[in-house]
Amino acid sequence: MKTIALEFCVGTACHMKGSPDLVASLETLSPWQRKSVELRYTHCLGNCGAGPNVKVNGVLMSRVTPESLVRTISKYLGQG
Amino acid sequence: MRLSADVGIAINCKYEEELCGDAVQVVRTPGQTTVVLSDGLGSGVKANIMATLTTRIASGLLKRNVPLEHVIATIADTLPICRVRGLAYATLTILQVQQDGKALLYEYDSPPVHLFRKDLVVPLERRAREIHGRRILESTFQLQDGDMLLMVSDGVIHAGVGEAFDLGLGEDGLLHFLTAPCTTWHQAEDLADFVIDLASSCYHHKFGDDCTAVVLRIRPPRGVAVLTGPPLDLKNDAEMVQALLSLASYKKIVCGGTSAGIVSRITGIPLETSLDYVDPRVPPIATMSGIDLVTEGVLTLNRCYEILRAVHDGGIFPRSQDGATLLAKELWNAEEVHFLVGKSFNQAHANIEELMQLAPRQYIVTRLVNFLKKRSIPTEVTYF
Repeated sequence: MKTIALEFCVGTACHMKGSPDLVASLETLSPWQRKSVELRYTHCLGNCGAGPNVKVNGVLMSRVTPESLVRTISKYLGQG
Repeated sequence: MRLSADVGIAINCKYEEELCGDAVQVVRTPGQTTVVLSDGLGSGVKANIMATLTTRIASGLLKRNVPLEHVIATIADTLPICRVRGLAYATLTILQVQQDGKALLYEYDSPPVHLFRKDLVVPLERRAREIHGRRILESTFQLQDGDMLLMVSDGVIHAGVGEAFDLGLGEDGLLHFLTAPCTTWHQAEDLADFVIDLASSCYHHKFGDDCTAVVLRIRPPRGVAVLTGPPLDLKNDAEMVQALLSLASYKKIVCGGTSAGIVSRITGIPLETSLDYVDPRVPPIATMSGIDLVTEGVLTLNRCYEILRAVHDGGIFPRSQDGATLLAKELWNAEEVHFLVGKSFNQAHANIEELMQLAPRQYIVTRLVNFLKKRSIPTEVTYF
């Protein structure tokens, strides 16, 4: 099964800029997509000025929105 | 070595009584813990009033820093005598443990206090003094880390009189049952409960008198060290972390993602952030071996201050286990606090702090320090 590793920054700046909304947006994924997500939190990804930051399979994404995150995950995993 | 005391209290009323004729007050003032135990003559409402009055007078005076000897003199002078029995309406035991380990004990008409050290009962030297016509036993002794002190009301000593035992449990009986638990158990509350359970068994679970047990467990003060913020100069990272680790007996708390990263890098211990978003206002905590609590920085510190203020004003701690609540509980229960504060400022936080009306790190730490000092908790701050 194809999996996707997501590392959310939940440090001060990213938290205030919406990382809780990003985490909540995972609820909108289909059940099989959710099973394919390996979730991890971190306290800083070193790019506070451009938060919220998420590492997708080790690649840093900045100024992430719930929509762009779900789009990225769906693009990677497919719609099922 | 500085010392402090955990106090465990267990009380049970006489069978079919609604009010307890024993009363206990614990007064913690800077550098000392004082326990006042009074047993009102008889049981029921009169005993309750006399015992409560005695302990309240004593604790009221102690809170105003009146010396212990004057407190004893005041109570001795005011305590009424029962005309029928010719006895004082209430007994009194006052035990004060000072931060250098010195203990002062005053006993008036009450069962003796016992000191347990390892597996032995250490006899206390008492001398009788006449204060305002009352014979009061006075004792001064030195305590050590791990010592345990037991105060009981006479309901415990007489437990089971005429039933399980002809003359009641007695002091020897109590000591016989207690020596083993004292050496193996470490929670003052558990030991106090054990004594009352023992008395309950002797009374066949129908208490013939009010029973109270107070246990003091002597231990080093609860120190809390909080490291927050990266140092202004990167070269000081190791020094700051070393300062935290050198506070060996302190609970260690790190507030801030970057700060936690620094501690992780210097010590080589991995940092794992929890996946539980317990409170949406506060980012999740993290775990790191050897560090008791790892939280986010500015938001957590601001929320922690809010919680402490609310508790100080009579509120209760939130039930959630978020970082701010956990930090607030640690600071509330601390007896010594040391803040290690990095002065580096994260520019990305500037707009957020302004927008959210959050106090920047150094300001919020200052507020916390002032709050703790107002509560008479010795607090130090070191900046890096």
